Amino acid sequence: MSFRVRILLLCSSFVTPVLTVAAEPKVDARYPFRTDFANAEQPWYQLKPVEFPPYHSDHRVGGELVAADFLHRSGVLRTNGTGELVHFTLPPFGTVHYLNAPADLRDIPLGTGLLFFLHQDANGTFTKAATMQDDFTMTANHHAQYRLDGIHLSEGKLVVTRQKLPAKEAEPQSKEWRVNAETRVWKGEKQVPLSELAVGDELLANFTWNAPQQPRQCTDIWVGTDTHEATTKRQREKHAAFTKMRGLPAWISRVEGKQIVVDLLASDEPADRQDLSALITAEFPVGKPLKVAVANDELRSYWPPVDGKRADLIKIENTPGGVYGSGGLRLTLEPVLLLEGFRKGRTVRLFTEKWPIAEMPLGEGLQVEMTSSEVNELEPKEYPAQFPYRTDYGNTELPWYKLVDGEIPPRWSEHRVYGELIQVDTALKKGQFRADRTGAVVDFTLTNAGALVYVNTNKPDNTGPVRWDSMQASVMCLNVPSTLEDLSPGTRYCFHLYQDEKGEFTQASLISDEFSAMSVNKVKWRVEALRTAEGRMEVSRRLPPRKQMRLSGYDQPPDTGHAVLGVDGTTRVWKGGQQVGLAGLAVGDELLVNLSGETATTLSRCLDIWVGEETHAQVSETQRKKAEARLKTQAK
Amino acid sequence: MNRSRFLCRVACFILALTNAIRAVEVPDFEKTVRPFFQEHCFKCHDDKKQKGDLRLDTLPADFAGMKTSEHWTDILDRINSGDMPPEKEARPKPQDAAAVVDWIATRLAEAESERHAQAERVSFHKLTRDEYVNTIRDLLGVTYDARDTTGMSEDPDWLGFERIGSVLSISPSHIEKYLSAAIATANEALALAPQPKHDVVRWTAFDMRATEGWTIFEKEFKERRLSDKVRSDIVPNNGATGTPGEGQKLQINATGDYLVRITLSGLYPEGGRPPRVQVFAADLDRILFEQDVDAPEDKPVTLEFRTHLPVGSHIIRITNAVPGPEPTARASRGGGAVFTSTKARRPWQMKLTDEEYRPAWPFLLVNQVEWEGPILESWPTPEHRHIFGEGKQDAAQVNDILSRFAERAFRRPVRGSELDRYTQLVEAELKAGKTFENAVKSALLAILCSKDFLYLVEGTPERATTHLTDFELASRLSYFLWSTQPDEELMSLARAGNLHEKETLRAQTRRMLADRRAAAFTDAFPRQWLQLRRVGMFAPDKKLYPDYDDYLQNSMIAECTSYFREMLTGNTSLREFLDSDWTMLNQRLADHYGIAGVRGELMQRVALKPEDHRGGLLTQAALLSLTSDGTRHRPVHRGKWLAESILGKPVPPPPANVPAIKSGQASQPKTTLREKIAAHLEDATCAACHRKIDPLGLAFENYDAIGRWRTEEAVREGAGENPKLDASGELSDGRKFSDANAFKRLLLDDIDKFAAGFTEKIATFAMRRVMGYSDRADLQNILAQSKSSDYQLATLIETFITSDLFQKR
Repeated sequence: MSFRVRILLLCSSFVTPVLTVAAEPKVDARYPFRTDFANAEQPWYQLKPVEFPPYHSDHRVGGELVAADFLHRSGVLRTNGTGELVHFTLPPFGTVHYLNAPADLRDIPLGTGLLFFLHQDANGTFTKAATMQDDFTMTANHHAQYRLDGIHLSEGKLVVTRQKLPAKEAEPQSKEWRVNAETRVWKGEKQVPLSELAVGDELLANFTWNAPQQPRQCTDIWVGTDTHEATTKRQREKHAAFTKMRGLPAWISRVEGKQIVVDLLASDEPADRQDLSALITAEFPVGKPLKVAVANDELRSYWPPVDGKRADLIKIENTPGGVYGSGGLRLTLEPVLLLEGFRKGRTVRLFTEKWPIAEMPLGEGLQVEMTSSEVNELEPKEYPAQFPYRTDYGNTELPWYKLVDGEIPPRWSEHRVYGELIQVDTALKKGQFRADRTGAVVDFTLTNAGALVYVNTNKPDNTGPVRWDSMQASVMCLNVPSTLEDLSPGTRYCFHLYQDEKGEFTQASLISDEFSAMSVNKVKWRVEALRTAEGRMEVSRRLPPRKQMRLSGYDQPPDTGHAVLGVDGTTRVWKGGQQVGLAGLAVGDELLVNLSGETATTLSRCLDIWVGEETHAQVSETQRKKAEARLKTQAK
Repeated sequence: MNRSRFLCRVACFILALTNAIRAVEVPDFEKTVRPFFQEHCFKCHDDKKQKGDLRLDTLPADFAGMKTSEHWTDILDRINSGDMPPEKEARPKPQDAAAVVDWIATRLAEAESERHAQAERVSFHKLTRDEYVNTIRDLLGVTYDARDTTGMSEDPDWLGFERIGSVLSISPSHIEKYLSAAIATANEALALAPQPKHDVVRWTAFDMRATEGWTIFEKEFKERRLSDKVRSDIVPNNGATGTPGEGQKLQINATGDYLVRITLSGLYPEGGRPPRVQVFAADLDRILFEQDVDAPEDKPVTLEFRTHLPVGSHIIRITNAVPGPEPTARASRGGGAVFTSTKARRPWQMKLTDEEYRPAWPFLLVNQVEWEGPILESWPTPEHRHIFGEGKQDAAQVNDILSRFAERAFRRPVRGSELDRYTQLVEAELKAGKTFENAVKSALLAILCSKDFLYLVEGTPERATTHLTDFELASRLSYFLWSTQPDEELMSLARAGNLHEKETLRAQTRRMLADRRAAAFTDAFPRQWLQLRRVGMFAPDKKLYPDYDDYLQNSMIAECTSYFREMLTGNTSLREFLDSDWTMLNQRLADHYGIAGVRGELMQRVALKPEDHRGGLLTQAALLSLTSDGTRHRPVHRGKWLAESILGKPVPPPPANVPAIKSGQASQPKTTLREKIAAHLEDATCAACHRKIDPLGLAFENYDAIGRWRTEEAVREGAGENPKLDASGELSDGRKFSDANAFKRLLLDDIDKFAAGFTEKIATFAMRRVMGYSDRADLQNILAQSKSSDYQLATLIETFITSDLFQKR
């Protein structure tokens, strides 16, 4: 089945939850697995190493993008209708389509409605995104657009009719689009007011999610075929530059002696495959050398200018379509030297020798010269063999680490659970919290030994590897080792848990608030847009600036992600010790926050927001004095 | 000078030669040389005409005189090069020219030997560098690291022999070295400073990789309880030992012996080479230790060695001395690649294991290194107690202390007058305020820098002597077989005056050869006789011979030396130097030869099969490679070496301006080196000598530049298949051979000639001078006796030591 036909089948399912569409089970012998449309008695397709999943092996969910972590290729979507929050990740083959062109997660504005193609993870939850597409893509890719038939701005609606291109054959039923003051209208590259829309305009649009009892709103409208094509062209060029800078992603499907065989990871859409094929033909001639750099499953490379290995391109083969994320090309390479990362299943990035192989943008490369551990290699994920016990990231065949009385457990041995504190008994060192999303109530007991908290001690003037120090703590509040008395019921904490004698995760070595977690990693949120009236604001994730090597200036690393944070009238906003209210927030403010817990359908809400570096230092200092005074009192 | 006077001179010359000439086939002057000169030379170089200021008809046949020998050398060169006779004159027959060249070359060589052999009333033979080290060891009980960068320079050699008195010179810089060596060794031997603190320096992997930034991870890995799993992973060819600026600093606070323990694993591909740990002190330019390592990742082994280290800060490099990718190709970098497991290495690192995590390269995983020392038997040191005795330390003891020490140092009794200047020195030092022991030490230093210590002195200025005293004989014997000073037993026999008795000498020879110190002889003699210092002189090209490394080179040399030792221990006939059905191999060299079933690093006797294409010295890789130029074998040089070292026959020098061998053209079929040098035989001026030299080397065409067996020659230039090799040839006497085996059989037919050459080499080594015509009769006697026992090696040496020659100066 071609991509286009796929889209056709999907269009009607986009605006409503997919599972409700597949109401009448049927059997489709073409697929040896369950699909959204058939074979309900079959198990869902399970992802396998070095295998591109076949079309229709996914489960489709429409929703709004509410958070994206660009570096780890993950994010959160809020499902249409139900509002269910899905924390998704893009596997190496996962692709993004936006404005009818290949894209990266960072291209998609928060609040954009998308259709996600999801596979199950190891726990059977649909979190692995094979691809995602916006409305613009789905309409344009199907060679369709909308004709504007009626303009009712006072009612916040437009009447449109879908028409097929190039004949402009209209569908019989017209539709209503909701617009408001937030809706952006584009002509060429210019944003124009809604009032410039005219009946007869040819439109493509993107929308918000489908909130309960709320129709979808147009976020953006593109006017005219020229605008549509130019918009797609710009996105395509933008993504081509993005890829060229980082190298073509591929995974290693096998290693044969000194040669590695790689499959290019790219959009499986036929037009994109053609583009890729043309690029390979023009710039990667067989018999000529290229450069291949190791990467991880987030497609992040390490240090291509240094690690990139020269390799002869031995052979190029076409591979079958009908699968997600395959660029349709298989390359056989012979590097001058095999690297550890040249193993079956691992990913690489390919560069022609003509492409300037630059260092990755700050924070994106995986070499250790980072300013925050949040963007470093995650040791238990990348090197599970280092750990003789199970971790949250691997070694599932091993038992969890068993606490030894009086001993601080080793790093990464904990099972991290986030949840909202329900109650705490400081005398008994016990308490309860409600786990995020599942809502499970967990009893916990604080261990005596506590845990080691690793603090990034890099100063702005430091260059080179990240510097660390560790300190012992059981409770971290406001970036200060604290006690249970400092915990606030209703606040979300990260609990480092270990199994008790019954195998239940009840033993907490560390309880840490969001303020502390962000502080030790030296990251902040920066306000990008305030929609306090809607109970939300949009923020970007900021790494600290890094000193330029051999220069006196500093570089601000690009944002590593963005998210929607909930706010309401109870949210406390602090500036320099004063509570200022939501009105005191402004775009550009750098924030540290503490949050409420997240439920299956409700995003975390900011309980406290501290604005600006001075405030952050001040509140920590206040907490430090408070904690020290308490410790002195307890000591007496 | 008129013609009759010339003829008279020639007649005298020939008469003299007749008496002295050895029993080898050389052309006769009157029949061969003179007619040639008359026909081709006198026309321009006689009493009427002296072109180029050269007059041949009166040129004395005085090859010993420096000026006339220069004339003869010039004549040889001009005939040899074809410059003379000039082109306009009639060309001499090549064989006639060759005969004249041969005659002159032989005379020149004999004259040179005579010069070396000329004895003065007192002859001084400087201790070689190795002998100095051994003597200090036995005298003071400490090690002097003479080969370190701060030590002594390599001794010059004459045809490989490093102990020829007339070649070894001494300069002011030598004196400085001897003084600093004396101070260093005396300081270590004598307990004049506070007892050195016994330290254990332990290097963890974090320490060893500090320059790569591992240190900042140490705390975290300890907290993660992984620090015991952290190891230094060392890839093959991880850096040449000569790379400056890299390494780990080791602070040594007291000179002395140190015990070093390395705990490590060594992994390698099945059927491949194990990794080889090499501990190199860069500042000393000394390999402290090296060994193959075969230990699984989870079962490391601890290797221990003892080494001597001077006080100071040293740069230590621990390398994996096996071939591997060039360091530049690995793009090695730091970045916190702390090793804990072969399955947890960084993706950007060189891939050490295959897809199933089996070793793909030989690599090392080093847990830790410990440096313990200095190792002291006691304090004060035994040497201190030996020198100063246990009694009262006062001026009355000085004479006794110094006479005991000087007798051992001078290897003979010391006269009172000799001792006076040393005792006076002690007195002066005491007056200057030095302690008793330090004052005595000053005198000991003076003794250690005296000529009687640094030289083996033979003879006396008072009278001419022809034979050695018993003390001189003790030194000759001791430095011959042990390369060190005589021990107390030899000195006692010398004092008793009966060392020179044949039966005593025979008994001592057997005792000494059975002693561990005889290893100095079994190592030094074959190295010098066979010119093994030339092995690797032109380092084989890494691209052409990627498997060639120091370990292989050392194994190649060890084959020769251990082969000699095995021959000596087994009292084997000299025939087996020429051919045998066994050799001495370790695993590394056996792999090089393609011989299976040999394990380990130790050289061991291995039976050979015909298909191994080995046997005797001449097919040993060291000897096949020492004449190579780093890129290819050189048959002419092989022939020259064989003529000099095995046949004992000097080879005339090549004419000047010989053009280099031309490379093949891409369009032309590939040709062997043999075919290229065949031009030598077509050119009359070249052919005379090359007909004799080339076959000796061409017999070994089936062995490449590093001694590997082959049937075709790998040729880069030219078109088509690599050409097949031809190892056949014809000796100058007309005997033909088809290959190396047939050639060796011809040599065995001439075993008497080989034995004569070998005996002369032994005598040269033992007597520290070149054999002259005056020694020939004695040598012939030794040969005659040895022949009756089929030239058994140990018997021959015993015969030599008990011969009259051995006791002669």
